Amino acid sequence: MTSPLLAVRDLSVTFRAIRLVDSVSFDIGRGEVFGLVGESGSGKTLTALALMRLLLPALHATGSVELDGRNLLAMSERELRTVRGGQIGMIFQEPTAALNPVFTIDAQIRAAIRAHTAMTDRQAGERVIELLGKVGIPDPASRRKFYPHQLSGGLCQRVMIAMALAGGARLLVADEPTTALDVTIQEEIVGLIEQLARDTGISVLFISHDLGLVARLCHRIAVAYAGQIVEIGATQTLLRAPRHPYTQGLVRCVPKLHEVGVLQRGIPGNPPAAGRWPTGCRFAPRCPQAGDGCDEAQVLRDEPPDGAVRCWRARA
Amino acid sequence: MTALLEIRDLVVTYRLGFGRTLRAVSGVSLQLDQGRTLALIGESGSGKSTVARAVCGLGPVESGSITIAGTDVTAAPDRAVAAGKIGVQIVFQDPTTALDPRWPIWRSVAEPRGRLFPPSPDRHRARAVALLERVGLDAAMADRRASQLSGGQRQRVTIARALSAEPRLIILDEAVSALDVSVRNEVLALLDDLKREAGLTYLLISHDMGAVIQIATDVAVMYLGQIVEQGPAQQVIGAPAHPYTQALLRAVPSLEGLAMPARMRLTGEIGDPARPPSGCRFHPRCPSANAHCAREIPIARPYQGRSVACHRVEELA
Repeated sequence: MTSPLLAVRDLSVTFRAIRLVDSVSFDIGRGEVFGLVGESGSGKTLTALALMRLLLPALHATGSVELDGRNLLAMSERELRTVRGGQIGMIFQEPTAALNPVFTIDAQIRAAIRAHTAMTDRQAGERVIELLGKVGIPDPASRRKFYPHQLSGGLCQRVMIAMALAGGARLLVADEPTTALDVTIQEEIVGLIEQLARDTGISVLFISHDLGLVARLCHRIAVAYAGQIVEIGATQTLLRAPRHPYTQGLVRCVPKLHEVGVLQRGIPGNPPAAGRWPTGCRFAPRCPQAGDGCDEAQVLRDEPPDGAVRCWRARA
Repeated sequence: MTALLEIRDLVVTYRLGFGRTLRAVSGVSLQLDQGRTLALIGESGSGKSTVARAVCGLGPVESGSITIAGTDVTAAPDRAVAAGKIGVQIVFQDPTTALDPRWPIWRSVAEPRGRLFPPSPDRHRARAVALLERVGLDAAMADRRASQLSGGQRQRVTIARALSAEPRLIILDEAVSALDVSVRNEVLALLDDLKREAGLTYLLISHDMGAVIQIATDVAVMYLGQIVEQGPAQQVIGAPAHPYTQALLRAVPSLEGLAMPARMRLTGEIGDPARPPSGCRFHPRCPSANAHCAREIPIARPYQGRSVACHRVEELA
C-alpha cells in the first residue's frame, strides 16, 4: 500500500485549557475524496484550519499533520507559504465573500499563480484561461475580465476552485463549499470536485454538515461529534450499517424521497456547546442506547476491514 | 373544505431605480386549505419568499388578490396589520437576528399579543411561560437572553412568539434551514404537534427538501416568478412531472440519490427575472425543450392529480 498524502495524528486544538478538537487522526490517500461530517461545534472547521496552520493566535494545535511525510505543524512560516495555496488549496462557504470585490477574477487568480510559480505575464494569462476552463467557466477568455459581483454564486465558487488549483495543489480542502448555494448549483460544484479528483488525481478533504451530500462524492467518511471522531468508514458501509448511535441518527436525517409525509426521528437534545463536553461518552446524554458503561470516556477502536468506531456497545 | 388562503394572479414588481423594474412574481395563484401544509419550493430567485412576504403584508403587491379567511387583505390600508389581525404570523430563518438580544425571552414571546390584543400586562408573563413550555422549553429559561440559548432553542422561542398571537396561518420562511440536521427533525416534530393541537395551517418556504418531504401535504414549485407544478406532496415529490421539479428533486442529496448514479444534471443557472426567457421560462435549461417551448408560454393544466405548466408533459411521461 502506498503511503497516504496526508496523515493527521492526534491533532488537538486547545483554547486556554479547553480542548476544542480532541486527538483527531485520519489519513487521506492520493486521489482520495475524504469526507468530514459534523454539526456546528463539532470541531470540523477547526480541524481544517489547524492542519493548514490558520488558527487564531489564541488557539493552539498539537499532534502532527504530515503532508507527504513533512510535518506541517513543525514547519517555519516561510516553508508554510509554499504549502498554503501551493500544495494545499482551500475553498470556503461564501465564495462571494472570499473574493476581493475591487479586482477582476483574472487579477486574483494571477496573484495566486505568481505567489507559487515563476511565470511571465503572458504565461500567467494563459494559465488563468486554462484554469477557468478546467473548472467549467464558459468563455473563460472574456469572463476572466469580470468582477466577482458580475458572476453568480455558483460561478464564484468555480473561480475559488480555480484559484485553489493555481498553485499546483495536491490537496483541496473544501469547507462547506456548497452550503450557501442552491441544490442544483451544489450538484454542479460537487460534480466538478468529483471530476477534478478523478482526472487530476488531486486529494480532497470535503467538510460538511450534510451526510447525504458527503456520501455523494466521498470514498471514505469520518463523523465528528463534540470535538472527536466517533466513526470512520467507507461510504457505503457507513451508510448501510452505521455503528455509532450518532451516525445512525445522522443517517436517519438524510432525506428519503419515497417517504413523503413521514416524520423522521431526530436526535433528542442539542449538541454540547464547544468545549463543554460531557464526561464519559460525549454523546451519552443524547443517546437512545446509553446505559451502564457509557459514563466512561470512549476510545476510537479499529473496526476491520477499514473502519473505526468510538462506542463500546457498537463493538459488543 | 374552505380555503384559508387564496392567492389569485399575484404580481409583484420591485423598482430597481433608474426606471428599471423587476417582476419577481408574475401571475401566481395558490390555494391553501385549513389544516394543510403547503411548501413553496424553488431555487433562490424563483420568487418564493416574495410570495410569502406579500401574504403577510411585508412586500409590495402590484396586482392580483390575497384572501385570508374570506377577507381580501390587498385592499387594506396597512396589509401587515390586516394580516396580523386575521391571524397570520411568520417565523424567519435566523432566530438570532429575529430576537431582541437585550430582552428576556418571555418578553419577546409576549410582545405580539400585547400589540394585537388589549393589554393585560400581569398575565403576559404567565402566558409567555406557558407557551415556552408548550414548545418544549423549560419554564426556568423564561428570564434568559437569546444569547444564552442554542440555535434550536432560539427557533423554538420564535415559534412560541408566533403562537402567542393565536394565529391561524403560520408562514415558515426557511424556519428550519439554519438548524443542525439532528435538531431540525425535532423542531419539525414540534411543528407537526402544534399543527394538530391548535388547528394551524402552514405555508412553508424552503430550499431544504429534507424538511419539505417530512411535513408538506401540498407542494408548489416556482421557477422565475411562476408556478410550474403544484399538487399533493405525494404526487409532486413522489412522481414529479415537470422537468424542473424532476431536476430539483434529483439534486437533493437523498439516500435514494446514492443508488442513482446516472442522474440528470441540470445545466446553467436560474435566469435573470428582470429579463425572463421567451415561451416557457425554463426552456433554456430544460433537457427536453424544443422549438415550440421557446415560443409558446405553457398554461398550467391538470395532469395526474396535480397541475403542470409544461407543453410536453404527456410525451415525456
